[in-house]
Amino acid sequence: MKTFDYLVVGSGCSGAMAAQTLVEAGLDVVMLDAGFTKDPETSTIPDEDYLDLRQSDTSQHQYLIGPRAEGVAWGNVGKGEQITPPRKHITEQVDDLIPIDSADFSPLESLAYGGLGAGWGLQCWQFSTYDLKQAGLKPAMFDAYETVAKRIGVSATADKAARYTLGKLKTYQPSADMDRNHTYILRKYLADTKRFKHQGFIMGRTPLALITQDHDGRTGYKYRDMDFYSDNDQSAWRPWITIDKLKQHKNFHYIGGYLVLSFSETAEGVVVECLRTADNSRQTVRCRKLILATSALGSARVVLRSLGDEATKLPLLCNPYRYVPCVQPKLVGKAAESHKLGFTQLSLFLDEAHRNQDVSVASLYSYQSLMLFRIIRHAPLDFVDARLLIQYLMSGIVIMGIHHPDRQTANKWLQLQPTPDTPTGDNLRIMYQLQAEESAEFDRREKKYLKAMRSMGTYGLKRINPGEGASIHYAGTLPFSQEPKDFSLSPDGRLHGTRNVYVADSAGFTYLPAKGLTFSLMANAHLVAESVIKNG
Amino acid sequence: MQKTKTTRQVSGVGSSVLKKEAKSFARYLVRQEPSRQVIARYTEALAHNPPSISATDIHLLEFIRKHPWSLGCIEAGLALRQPHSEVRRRLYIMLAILESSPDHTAAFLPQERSAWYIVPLALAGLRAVGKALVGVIMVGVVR
Repeated sequence: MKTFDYLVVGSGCSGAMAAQTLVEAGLDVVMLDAGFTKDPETSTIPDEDYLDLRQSDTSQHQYLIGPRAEGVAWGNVGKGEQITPPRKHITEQVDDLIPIDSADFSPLESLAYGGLGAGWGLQCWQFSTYDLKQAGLKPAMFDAYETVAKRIGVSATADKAARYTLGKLKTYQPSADMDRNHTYILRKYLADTKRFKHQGFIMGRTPLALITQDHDGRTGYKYRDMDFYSDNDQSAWRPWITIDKLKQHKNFHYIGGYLVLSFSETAEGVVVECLRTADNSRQTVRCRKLILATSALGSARVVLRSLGDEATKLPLLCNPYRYVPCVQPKLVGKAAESHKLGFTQLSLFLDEAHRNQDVSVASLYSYQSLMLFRIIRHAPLDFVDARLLIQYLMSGIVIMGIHHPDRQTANKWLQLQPTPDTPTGDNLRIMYQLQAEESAEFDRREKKYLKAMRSMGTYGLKRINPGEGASIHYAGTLPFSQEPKDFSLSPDGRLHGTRNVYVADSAGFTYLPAKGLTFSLMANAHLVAESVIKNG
Repeated sequence: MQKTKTTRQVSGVGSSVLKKEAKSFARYLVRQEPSRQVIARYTEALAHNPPSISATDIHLLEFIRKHPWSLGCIEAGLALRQPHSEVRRRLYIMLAILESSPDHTAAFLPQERSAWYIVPLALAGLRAVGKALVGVIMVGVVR
């Protein structure tokens, strides 16, 4: 049996960053991954503008709704409704291979090549000093953010919200042009900034992992508005872009088709047991150092399985998330807009204490390329009249997604439970319930958001709770700890009780700020990889 | 790969009935004749996304096939009483297929409208309420 030097598990955002750091240090790295890839039938998309394609491409149904309308969700869909046919591989075989048993928590996980990063919304907010301290992360994160930004390319604006968005980040390109919906909201905000600030609201451009100028062989954003479907110009960073480049290095090898189940340490290193996804057979590999980057939920599974522990309940963090479809009456009845961006363009922070601590964040999205039919089904009208009405409103529709911070409580946990009829022989039992005071506080904040948006000419229609877990931000399952406790990580990311097993995803975070965690988990993965190198 | 079911296996009716249904649904939704490709996509989508049809669904679908004029009222009634019904699911699939066909783009993409467009829109709103009221009664009778 061959022994690998450094084995990185998972090809998502954290796996890609950890692997790059190790490879650039000249080490021999193998990435082991389930690695489900795109279906060529739905992901071959002409490199053209959304509006042009809609009017001319007779094959558009292949990528817009799927060849057999597989992308037309019906009933109570909840999570993942916005996953378009070219992105369907993101959730391939997830229910079979990494099942969840929960009445109140419905996470979105991925076994895809590039993981959840293949559909990431690209927000690159930097955690504040307070956020980092609360999350158990080191001040070295600020340098790590810089490293990650140089690798992936970030566009941002040093506006008056920079303290909340950019933090100390110095490496970035100019933000993309805003569309008319965002321009309208920002103008309204700037016209009355003093009042909004007094209420605790700070608005600014959202830093995005989207290049607006050519960078590292990738092309600057072309305003095709095909962001939910196509990665043609690679202006939006995806983990597979980094991994494809790493594959050109002699000291990097990618092995797809394997789900890592567990590990055990020996005198020589680590023995890793995997499931071959093609036939569910079990195989074993050896490595000197194991770096888990399979998401907070995935790493918890592997560690619990490895320690044979079906009694322990691990903590779980997840940003509570609600979204609100809004209408801007001034902008309804306008023609479809070209030169448009599908990603969020503005962030609205609610920080009543003006301390950049425990803030909530709303991301604003205009609505065009996800098509009319996805909204029509929510209207309590017949489809004919709903189409007329929503077609008229569509140019003035903005979706506000609100994230709240999360802390550990007794009612947020997960546990591995034996389930003989699954390929892995177990599933993850999850309980996630907000405390009454948390729910009341978030409800109050959301009402305040709606009121502020009305002052900006943007009227919320309905607050929608897609269910806990829908934020797709998971963390805290193996929290950082200075003390060598079971099921916890040392500050450098090593699993306590092991010598050579590291966790490079968000499992260690002891607090989850509302400012989406992806940029931070990438920076942390880089630091964990540096620790692995340092510890030999 | 899972074998796709035939249309008869799926819905208990032959493909000619489904083709007629596709035409009727497309005319209802966008007041335009559907192309052969749209009809083919509809029948294939139903074969790929097999429904769980209840007795009520069968009654409603048969009634609509016999009395195409009733589709608007029945759908409006279902939107209020039974929004996830099979009739609405089939209409929704057709709606998505039409939206992703270049022939029908203008019916879905936002268009420049004058302020007066609010008048026909208000009339459509009144019509929707009327249809829903009649539809709720019709659904009750047919089921």
